[in-house]
Amino acid sequence: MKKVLVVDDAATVRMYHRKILNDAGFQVDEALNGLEALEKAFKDEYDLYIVDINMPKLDGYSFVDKLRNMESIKQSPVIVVSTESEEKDKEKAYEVGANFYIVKPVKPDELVKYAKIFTGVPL
Amino acid sequence: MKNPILEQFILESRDYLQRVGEILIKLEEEQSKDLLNELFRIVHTLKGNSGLFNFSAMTKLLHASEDLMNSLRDETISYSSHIADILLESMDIVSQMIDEVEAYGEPQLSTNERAQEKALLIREILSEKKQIETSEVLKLTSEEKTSKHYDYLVIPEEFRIKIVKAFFEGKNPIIVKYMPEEECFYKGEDPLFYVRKIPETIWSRFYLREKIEDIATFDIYRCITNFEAVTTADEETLKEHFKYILDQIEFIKPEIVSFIVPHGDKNGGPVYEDFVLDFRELLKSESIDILKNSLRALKELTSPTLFVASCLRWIEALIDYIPKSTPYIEALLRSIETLEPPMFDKIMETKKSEVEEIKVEKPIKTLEIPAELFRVFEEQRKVLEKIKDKDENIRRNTISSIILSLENAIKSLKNEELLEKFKREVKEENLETILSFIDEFIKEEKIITEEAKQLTEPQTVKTQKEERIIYKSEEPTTTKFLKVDEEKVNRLMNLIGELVVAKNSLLYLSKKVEREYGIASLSKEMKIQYSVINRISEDMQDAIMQVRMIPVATVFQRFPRLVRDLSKKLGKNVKLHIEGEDTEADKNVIEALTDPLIHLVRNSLDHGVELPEERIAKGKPETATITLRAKQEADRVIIQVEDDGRGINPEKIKIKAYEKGLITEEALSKIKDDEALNLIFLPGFSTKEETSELSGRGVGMDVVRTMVERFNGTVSVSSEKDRGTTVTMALPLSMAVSHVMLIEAAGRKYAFPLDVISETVRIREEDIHIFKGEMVVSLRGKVLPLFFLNDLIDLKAPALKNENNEYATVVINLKGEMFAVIVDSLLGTADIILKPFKGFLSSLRVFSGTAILGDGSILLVINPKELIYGS
Repeated sequence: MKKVLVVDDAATVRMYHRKILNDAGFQVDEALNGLEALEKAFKDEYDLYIVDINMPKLDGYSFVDKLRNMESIKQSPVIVVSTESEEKDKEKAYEVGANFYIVKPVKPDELVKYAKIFTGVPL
Repeated sequence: MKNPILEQFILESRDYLQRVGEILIKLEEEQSKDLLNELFRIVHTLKGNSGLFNFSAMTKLLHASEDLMNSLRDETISYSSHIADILLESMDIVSQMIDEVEAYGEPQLSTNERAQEKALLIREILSEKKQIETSEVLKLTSEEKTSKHYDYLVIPEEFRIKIVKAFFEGKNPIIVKYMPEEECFYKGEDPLFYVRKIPETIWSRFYLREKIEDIATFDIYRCITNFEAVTTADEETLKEHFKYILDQIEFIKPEIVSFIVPHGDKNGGPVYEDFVLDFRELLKSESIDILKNSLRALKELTSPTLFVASCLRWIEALIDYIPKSTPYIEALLRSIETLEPPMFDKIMETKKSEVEEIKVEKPIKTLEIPAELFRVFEEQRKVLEKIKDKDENIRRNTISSIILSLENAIKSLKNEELLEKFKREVKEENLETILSFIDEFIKEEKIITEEAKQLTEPQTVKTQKEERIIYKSEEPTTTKFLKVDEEKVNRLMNLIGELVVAKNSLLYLSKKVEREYGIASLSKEMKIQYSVINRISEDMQDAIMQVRMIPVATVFQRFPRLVRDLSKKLGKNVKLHIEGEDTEADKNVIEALTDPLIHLVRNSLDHGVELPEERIAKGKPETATITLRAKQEADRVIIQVEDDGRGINPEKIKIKAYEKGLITEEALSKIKDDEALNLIFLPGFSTKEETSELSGRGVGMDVVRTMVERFNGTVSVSSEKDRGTTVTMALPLSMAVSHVMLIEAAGRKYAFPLDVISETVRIREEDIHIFKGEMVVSLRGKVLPLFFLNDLIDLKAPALKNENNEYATVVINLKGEMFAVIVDSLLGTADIILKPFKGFLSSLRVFSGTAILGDGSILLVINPKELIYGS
């Protein structure tokens, strides 16, 4: 089973993503912020990160930046999910090494499709 | 409400809103960047969350608030108590919406409107501030701002209808806002007079600018009243009317559509589809009389409080102005269908979208490669562009993530050919190979999508609509936990326990009313009330029990390690198998299980499971299996420890028990094998001669039994030679109410647990026989041992008979073993909360505990097992 780390400070969003992904057959782990996500990424191997931008302690950009600087962590795809719809926000995410950018709110089937594509699960 | 995500949203939003309130108030004292940042983040999160659901007004308001906070953060707007007020008010509205979401599933129409209005107000502040930046003019009073956006809903519908009619009659209604100076009375101005004398007034109102906090200190000479009126008089006339106080007057020239706002409950009422269809036809033919008739008929069928009724009233008002009013009527008809506010600016577009929706019904050519996949490819190209000049580390890592993404994307297509091509062509160290692969892939897409574009586009429109429906689910996947002191839950438990007992007194009273005062009707009413309270308290109890339920996994999870370590030490190969770890039981029960379980598993490892060579010799798999199993059966949780080891030899058990003096020689020959197995639970029994490192620590199976029985549970064992042993513990799911049978003996009340009573009978003196010096009674061909309860619990009184010279007798069935007990009288059943004895009284094993009865008296609950074996 593919393992996804959902990083978001909003419990509602985490729950929403978890429900959608679980139903689609993914194993889901959660982190409340970038820092916690980084800690989890050290301990566990994830096939995909779904990351919010605005978070306390360590925001999404910094998380991806740090992740992409870590030699010892598997460099799995990162999907940034953000409320910011401007191009510059997306560019900022790509500059630190995120692989995809979705504007919130994410539609369930959209999320599932991208999660599958990025983890190699047959569509 | 069933949707756990929505519930989560409500919970979380409330936390956030509370924090926002705290921060806003703190900010008034001290301007802190950190606080502003936190504020921004919270509102941002709230906005994001609300977007998951279809609460667009809430999202709009939060979005506006977020932008306002952003301006505060950037210091393009400075923090003032006025801004704080607006933000606080906005959060109040959001908070109300959350309440409404909880109560009705969605925010109410009026609240949505307030939210929209507030969002607009904030937008105005933001845009004005931008202008101010350039023109360097400052200061805005709240009145100026609110005036630009008028709350049309303060005008009652009947007046709005009049105003709209005036529009159609060629007039131009104007809203007059009059804000008299506080000192106006000293200037000889009479605001009320001014307002009353406004010519051609359709509607007017007055309201207070501020709340009167304390009537005692209120200054009646200060004018804090505002006035509003709608008039069809022209502006010149009005200016003349107010010429001395024009500085206090504001004129708003509204648009007609601002007034046409149907309002009301969106649920209920008859079906309008046919009406709308017919009406559209009639509208084309402009047959006004028929339209009016059909409208009137429908109006009569519709409750006036409904949204639809309001739409109908509006249509009725507009009907006289056909054809001028036709587009408005059409918009209202659409509102009846959609239950959304009328969209007047989109009247022309609606027809178009209808056409599009019909198109969707056509079969759509399915694409072999979904558009999302191409987007992923495209985006990877963008990422590549972005990072190609970055530091070595981030560059290399991101490239490998891109390659992984592309490879996975191809895998998701299940296209082996393409995957091989990818692996062949793409080299991690060569950026160009990645780029050219992506380009080639995307080129193919262009061709395919061009063909399919026209077909797919309307479809995306529709799916978007569908996806807005809240994602529903039955089971929560994550839970927000509330940490509560266990004491608090215990207190709740005790209170509900008392309630359960107290409610019994109602039943007791109702009996008393009937018996002693002979008022049967009152007694009946009391019984009805009792059943209501009974139901509520049962539900409450259930709910509280639920709070204390935890999964057995919390105990089970320590066993894999334990089994692994111990089996290694013993040189045995053991596999642990766990089943039903999700089964839930009361926290106390689960905790009580831990020690017996450890003991049982150790026993299995130590005594049950053979060494590998012994297993091979027996033709069994080398690796033994120990199974920990939990399941729920009715109101009990069943925990089993099963091994496939050597089993227990009943003969050995019997002899051992005899040697230890636990059974008599007579019993030794009589006892059946399965009965013999259960001898291991007797105190002072241990089959292994030498104490082993593991289980021989002085705790035998009797400890397991004691522990389990303390929680009103049972334990049993079954075993087959060389096939294995299964120990089964059955515990109550919770420390819930016990159902008991109340009896009387020697003038005192006692109780038997109802689940051990198989029946109650009356027996006569002549039914009692003496067999081998023991009393027996023959019951439907079955001979049962018979006892007097008074003898068993040492009450110095003879048993009483009833008027027919019969003894009241309780037949007890302890897992197939039956006996009869004579009591003085049977009093009926009751629900009690059993409280086990504490301290030195706990050595009184013949009683399992006490309970308080409805009339306040104390009840001793008999433990039937001890009743017979104990004495």
